[in-house]
Amino acid sequence: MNSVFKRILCVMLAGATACTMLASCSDDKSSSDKPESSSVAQTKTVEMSQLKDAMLKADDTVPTMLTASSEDENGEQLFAYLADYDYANVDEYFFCYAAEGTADEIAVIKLKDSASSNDCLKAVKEHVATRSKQYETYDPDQVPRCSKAIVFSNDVYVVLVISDKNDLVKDAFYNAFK
Amino acid sequence: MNNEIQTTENITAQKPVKSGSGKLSIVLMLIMSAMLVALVVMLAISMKNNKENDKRIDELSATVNSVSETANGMGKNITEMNEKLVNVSEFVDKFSQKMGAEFGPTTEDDVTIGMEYEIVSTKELSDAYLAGDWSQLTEEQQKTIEMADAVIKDVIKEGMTDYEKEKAIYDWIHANVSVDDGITVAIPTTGNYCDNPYGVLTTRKAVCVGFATTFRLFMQMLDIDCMVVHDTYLSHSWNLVKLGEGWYHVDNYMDNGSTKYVNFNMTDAMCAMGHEWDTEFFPAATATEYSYIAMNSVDFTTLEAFAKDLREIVEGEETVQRAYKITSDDMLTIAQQLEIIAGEVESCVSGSEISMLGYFTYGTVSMDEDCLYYGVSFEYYMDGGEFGDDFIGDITDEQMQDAMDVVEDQFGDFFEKHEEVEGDYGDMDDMWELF
Repeated sequence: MNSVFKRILCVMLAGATACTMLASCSDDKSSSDKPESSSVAQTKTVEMSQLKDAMLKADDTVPTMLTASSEDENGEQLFAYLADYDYANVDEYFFCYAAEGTADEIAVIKLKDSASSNDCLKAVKEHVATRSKQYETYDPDQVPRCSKAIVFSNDVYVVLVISDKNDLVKDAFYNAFK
Repeated sequence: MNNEIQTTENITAQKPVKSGSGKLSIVLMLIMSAMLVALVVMLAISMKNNKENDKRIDELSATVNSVSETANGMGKNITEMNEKLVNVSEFVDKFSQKMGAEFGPTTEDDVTIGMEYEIVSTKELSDAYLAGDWSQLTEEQQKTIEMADAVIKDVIKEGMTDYEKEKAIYDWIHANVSVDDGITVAIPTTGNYCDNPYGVLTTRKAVCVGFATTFRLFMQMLDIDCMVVHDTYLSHSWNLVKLGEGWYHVDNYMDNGSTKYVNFNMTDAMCAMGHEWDTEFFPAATATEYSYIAMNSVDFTTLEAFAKDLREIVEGEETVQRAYKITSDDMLTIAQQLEIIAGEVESCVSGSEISMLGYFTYGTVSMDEDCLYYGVSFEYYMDGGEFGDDFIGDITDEQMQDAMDVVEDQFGDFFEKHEEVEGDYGDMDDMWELF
């Protein structure tokens, strides 16, 4: 075999080998082993004021609303009208309620720790039950609206919605974190 | 010419033998072999990685599916939760048990209603009043007694029975005290003192606790036994008054406005239609001697007589409230027939000039296992009813006719376009003819 040919053949084989080696390498680190998280808190941080505005805008039928929040000087005292729950576990909250005394309410409580969210959720449900009983006496037309209240928790957030467009307001809560 | 004969030796001699290039070839061949081996190994590793990657992809897909299922589950859970929240009563029952356990046994006083309004005893004031000396009381308490005493002197006449005194005070409260509307606001916006006699008598505004404690003060100052009752959910309060040997429920708050006497002197059965309370703690109210509805009802006789009554009521020029007592076994059926008749009468009133003169309402007032009371009310504006003369301006016959002409113009063909509905509860023509 011609020696030059052998050398050329060797170089070609070496090049082919090198190319194959490069092609056979793969970055095993590019795939994510972490599953998708469904927690809104881990998705994005949202200002409570932005969250409040988004949820109020979602229902254009909501009446004139007053707001109590953790920003108020007496925020801790006002929180008691929303939930019988230890305020020390509350990071932030806002509580929007109808100025004319109807059942419309939109509230979000951000807890310091999601471990206590069940207790907070229960306290908010008790608030709804109390309001419903109150309306049985003072304004029975509002009782069915209380029965359709949406109360749920997601990670550190506990949410209450009583409005004529509950689902839209709930969606506005989740969309705010996208 | 040199012809060289090449012999093997020559040929052999002519072929140069280079020992260095041979070695190089061997080395290169060894290197190539090693590279081929490495290539094979790399390919094997790559195939293994691909298998592992496929496995990881499968695991990731499974995780994504799991997350999707979880999200769907969450959506389903939210739907189920919404459905469960529709049945609030079950949760409320559990809540009430918790409340009872947390707040201990029922008491009359030192109870907070609606997280805001406290029921406080006024016995110190009434005892001082009955003793004739309230100089030892605080300034506010003294002012309270003076305001209440002024009302008593105005409405209570010599020789009145306890029932008449009670009714006089009830009438005064109904005419002079109105509801403080802020009670249903989630963070109440009611004024100060709306829950106690001093504030109520000063501002003439009250929440339920204010109505109840003020009424109790008046009764106690008149030496009539009276309690403040509250519901087990601590959301409302009213009174129990003892007249003769029996107790009677009175809810001044619920009667505030146009529904006068509906919640005045009720039995337990009547009161339970719109209230609940700890019946183990508060005295039973089963007597009917001073039940307002029982005292002022007429016995139901026939549908014809009922309709005839309604014609007289709506064409009369005075405010009338009347309850019909039904005691037959089919009292519920009869009540439904009365509802139909009254509904047609209401349509006649609202569609005629009578609607300018008065307001007609109707409905079942109360019911127990023995009888049912069906009430009708015609509030005649011109005799100082709910709105009185201030609400009605001067209107000429021509102006009234102009208004009626507009209705005829817009609604004259209403029943040509919209079918009248007849139910299966009887012949509507027969019902119409009654009226």
